[in-house]
Amino acid sequence: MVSGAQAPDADLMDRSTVPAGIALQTTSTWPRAASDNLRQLHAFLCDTVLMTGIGFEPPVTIPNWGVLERGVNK
Amino acid sequence: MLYYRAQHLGGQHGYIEALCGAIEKAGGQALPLYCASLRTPAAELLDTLTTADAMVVTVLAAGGAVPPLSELVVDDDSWNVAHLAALDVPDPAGAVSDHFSRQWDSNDDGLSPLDVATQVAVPEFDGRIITVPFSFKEIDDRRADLLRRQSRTLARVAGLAVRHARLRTIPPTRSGVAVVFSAYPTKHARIGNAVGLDTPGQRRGATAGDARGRLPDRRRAGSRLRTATP
Repeated sequence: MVSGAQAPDADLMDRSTVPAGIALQTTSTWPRAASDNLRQLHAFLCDTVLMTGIGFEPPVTIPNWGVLERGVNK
Repeated sequence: MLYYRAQHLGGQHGYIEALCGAIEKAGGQALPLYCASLRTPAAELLDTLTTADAMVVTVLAAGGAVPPLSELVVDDDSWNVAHLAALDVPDPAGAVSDHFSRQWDSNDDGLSPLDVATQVAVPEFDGRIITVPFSFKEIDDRRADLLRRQSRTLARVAGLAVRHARLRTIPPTRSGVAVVFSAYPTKHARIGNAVGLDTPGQRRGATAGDARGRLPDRRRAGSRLRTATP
């Protein structure tokens, strides 16, 4: 169980049934779970919880704020 | 213009680009910025904001100079927006509605209680100037996706923002202040009004003289204060 807020939530972490390291990684990735980070998070959880072998990359850091580049379709 | 990073990451910033265009059309220069939060804005973000003459803000700031440690602990500081107030920049709130466009277009009810809470009440605690909703949700049938779209009211938000920005450069001796007392004729029309000058009964006590007395700073600075009776 993870929160969408920036800071980890001890209570939600405590209620999670996966190892603390997995919950912490998920918590830190979830607020920046855009496009590719979301895909990588899915693979991370599959591999570490369900023991699949998809393979995953660490989440890409996204700045907290920035200037919108206009006319660029994401 | 400040909007949420989550919308930026989701590619939902078309309405912000449209607002940029409307601001330029109204004679302003647009600076669109996304941010994760305004509760604890980075010093560099605040520095960037000092270059603005007005901010159209869709990001909430109240609820803490620091994120609350617990939902149960509420102190006075949790409504502190001193870091934004220190910018001394007028900040019209652009309401980003939780409604779908067709709901908004097809009824006369105005904002829902949810929108009033998040897009009017909390922004007022942030010290914002309330404007109008300018973005609604839409379903994109081809992509089966939820989108955010700008509405026709975009020009209204842009116009208000540009005029507030211009007001900063007009000396008080050249400015005029209008105090407008609005009248709500029936009891049923008073829902949601709380400023204390809403009803004829309350208005009786509030005279033009009061209005002059309540604006001493503007008057000392040389503003014209005139009254007109409709």
